[in-house]
Amino acid sequence: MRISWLLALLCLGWAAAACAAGDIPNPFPPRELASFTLSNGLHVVLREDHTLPIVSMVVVVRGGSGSEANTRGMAHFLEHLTFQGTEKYPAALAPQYALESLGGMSNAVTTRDMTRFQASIASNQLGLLADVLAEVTLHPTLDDTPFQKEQPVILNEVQRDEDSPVTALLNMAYFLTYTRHPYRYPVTGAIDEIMGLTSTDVRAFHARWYVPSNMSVTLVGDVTAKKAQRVLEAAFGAVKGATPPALPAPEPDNAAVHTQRLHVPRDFPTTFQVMAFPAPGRDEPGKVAATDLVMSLLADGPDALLARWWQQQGIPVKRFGVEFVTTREPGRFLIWAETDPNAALRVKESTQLLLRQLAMGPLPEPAFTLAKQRLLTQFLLENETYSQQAATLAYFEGLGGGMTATQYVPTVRALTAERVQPAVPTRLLGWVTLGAAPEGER
Amino acid sequence: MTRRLLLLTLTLAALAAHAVTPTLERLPNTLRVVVQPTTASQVVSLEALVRYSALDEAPSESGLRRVLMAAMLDGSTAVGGASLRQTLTLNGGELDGRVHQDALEFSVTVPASATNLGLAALAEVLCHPALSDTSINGAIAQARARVGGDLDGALNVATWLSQGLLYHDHPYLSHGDGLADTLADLTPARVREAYAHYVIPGTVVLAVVGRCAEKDVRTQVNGLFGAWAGTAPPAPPILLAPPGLDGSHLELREAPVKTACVMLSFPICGATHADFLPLRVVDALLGGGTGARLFRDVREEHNLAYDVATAMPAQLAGGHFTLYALTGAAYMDDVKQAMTDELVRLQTEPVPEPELRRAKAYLKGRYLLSHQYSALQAFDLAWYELIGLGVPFDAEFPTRVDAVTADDVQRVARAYFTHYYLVVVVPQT
Repeated sequence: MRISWLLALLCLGWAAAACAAGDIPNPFPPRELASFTLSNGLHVVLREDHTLPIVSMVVVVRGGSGSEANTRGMAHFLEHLTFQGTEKYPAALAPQYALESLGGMSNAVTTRDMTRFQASIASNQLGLLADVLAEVTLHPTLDDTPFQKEQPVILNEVQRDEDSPVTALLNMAYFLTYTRHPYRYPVTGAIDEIMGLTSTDVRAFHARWYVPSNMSVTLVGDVTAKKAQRVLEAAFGAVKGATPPALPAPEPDNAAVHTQRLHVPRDFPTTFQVMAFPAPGRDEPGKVAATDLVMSLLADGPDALLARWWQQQGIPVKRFGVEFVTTREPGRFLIWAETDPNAALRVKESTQLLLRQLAMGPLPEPAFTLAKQRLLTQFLLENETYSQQAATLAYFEGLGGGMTATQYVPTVRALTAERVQPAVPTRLLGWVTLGAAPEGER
Repeated sequence: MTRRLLLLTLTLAALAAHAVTPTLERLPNTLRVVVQPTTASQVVSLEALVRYSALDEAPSESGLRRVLMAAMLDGSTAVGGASLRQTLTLNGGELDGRVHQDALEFSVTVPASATNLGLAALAEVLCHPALSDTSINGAIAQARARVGGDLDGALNVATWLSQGLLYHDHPYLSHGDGLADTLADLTPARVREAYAHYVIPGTVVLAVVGRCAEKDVRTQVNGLFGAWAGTAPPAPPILLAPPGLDGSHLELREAPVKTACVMLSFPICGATHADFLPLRVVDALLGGGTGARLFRDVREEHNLAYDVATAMPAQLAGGHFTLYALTGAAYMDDVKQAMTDELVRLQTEPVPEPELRRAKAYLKGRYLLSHQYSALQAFDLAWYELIGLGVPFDAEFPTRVDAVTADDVQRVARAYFTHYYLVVVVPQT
């Protein structure tokens, strides 16, 4: 072994570097986070960091497509319309323009559980930042004209998603394996549903969900708590509080239901497939962390178990992935792959075999420890910047508590192989194939 | 100066002035090392760029660089690739490699406490790769498996067609991937020869950015890389420009998609040419943010598309400026017309000062905010040094953007937006 490499290992402590897991920092140490609530119920999570003269803010509304009772695509449509003019910035896109013209950046995203409006700018523009985000979330005009203009744009976005086999496949998995809950439907809604929406529907959705007690602000960067409170009170405080609306009933967990099957023919030479398993929701943070670790174990890095397993079985897989997004209600653990049609069935069967083995036997080392460290590393790297940190805090806040972000790293660190093993999914809820039909299926 | 302009100037100046000045040193073996400490991040990013271009590859050896990079990442004479990655992973680090048109990139990101380990890992990969027959043959097999790529969606199909038209017989065509035939002909001996010729201290720039002490990093780098010897650097490749156009061309293709894509591409100058920065301002004017002309016109005024954007990669020998939109098949002509109208407007009407100011603010703001990511900052520092613009270019970027005038914008629009490739991908009938 070369001396320099040896020295590097020795400097770190040999055991720490080459054998045992090093201590990867927690990007959200509890002592560095603060929170307070405005008089109207708007909750604020703050991380003060004066290293850079930048501030990042996210307004999160706990109303995504999973809050839609009947008409689909409304939360996402509303997200588009909020930037089309507000009381103070009446022209279309004027709110974003105000930020961009001072070098700021803004964006918005709708998911099943929440809608997030995020922006970053130099910290001496905090007042403008808060003003713009308060305007787009609390005071959008939501007129008929922008509604009609935005409709074809959204339809185009839906078609684009449908052109992506993986996005379409994952949406189908949700549709197949939920029967009642709105998680069943794509966030954007389907084309005929979007065509049926009216601006009145969207205004009603806004009035119902965009209330201070159902929203939070996360703020990271060069700002003090005192200043944050003053600025946010000025921007958001005038809107009165209201009772948050009730959420749709959870999906019944019917364990007796057989695996659902769907094949969607498309003009592809290959077969895309997704296997959908049940996954925990936000109320079970230990299980969520364990499931994240299973995902990392199966799919991440050069030693990903799935890739190695299929290779050992002689099954050629063109590409694959695992998706598990933490949701408010119990969610889905999805394994997808693209293969030739003659390998599709073998992928499904061999994957189920691997999962059963993992669930029964001890999780393999060093794969388990590597997956754990990789998960912690990803969390650290995904929270390097103020904007990333504000987005992560908002995500946790959207699920019910931004301060719980401080506990993610300790929870992952505390995981043992024995505690993770029960999180390995084995109950296949649904199997969807897209493209060429799998060969050999009975 | 209006109040708004003063505000903007102060805002961006606050961001730019905060950065710690990076320092460049050249080791006795000619390796260039840039260090920029910052406490803004808990991690340290190490970027090593190797000046080994697609233009250095003979046509019969296309893909050689990708194979070399993959084989280098597969371990050194002291430590195997799996062990190297495993040790990094255990300590919160990541090792990666990318092939660019004009360089190979090796990157490591580690928590600050593991900086020495990250540097040692990078030294193993760069200075002492094993390059065994097994590693190289494995890398060739991997490279052959990825040839062809994934063509999901209209945008990917249009991009693939446009690349073929823009670079049809140029080394930039395959983006370093190579071709099945050329990869099959590569031998381990040839790959080792390429390593000895191109991956030497004189062709490498190493940039270190993050929570680190400059003195410690330099001591460590000297210890790890100081004894790395190499031959004299090869002459830089001749910057053979991609083929130009003597007229405009249309390519229409049906694909199994629901959305149509309209893509308009123009050949442009290389990344070190004086026109490149004015073209970046044009890029911001047309496609940068919600105030951009294409976004306003194609999406907001006429509601013709959801995705409407521009792109212009930085390539030394010449590149392309692309405008595209994903739209319904019924709107293709309208989209194409809207795009060309905007280009004609740039050529015939001076950009109003407020609009130019917004575009510059967008470009500078995006640049400065992106440098919160230590890896992006490290890449830019290494890249500017590698291509001859120099490390100070990074700090000067905002000032240089400010110096672009409305006349510059009109001039480059007239010079470059003449003949084009128009690629239209439509749903199958």
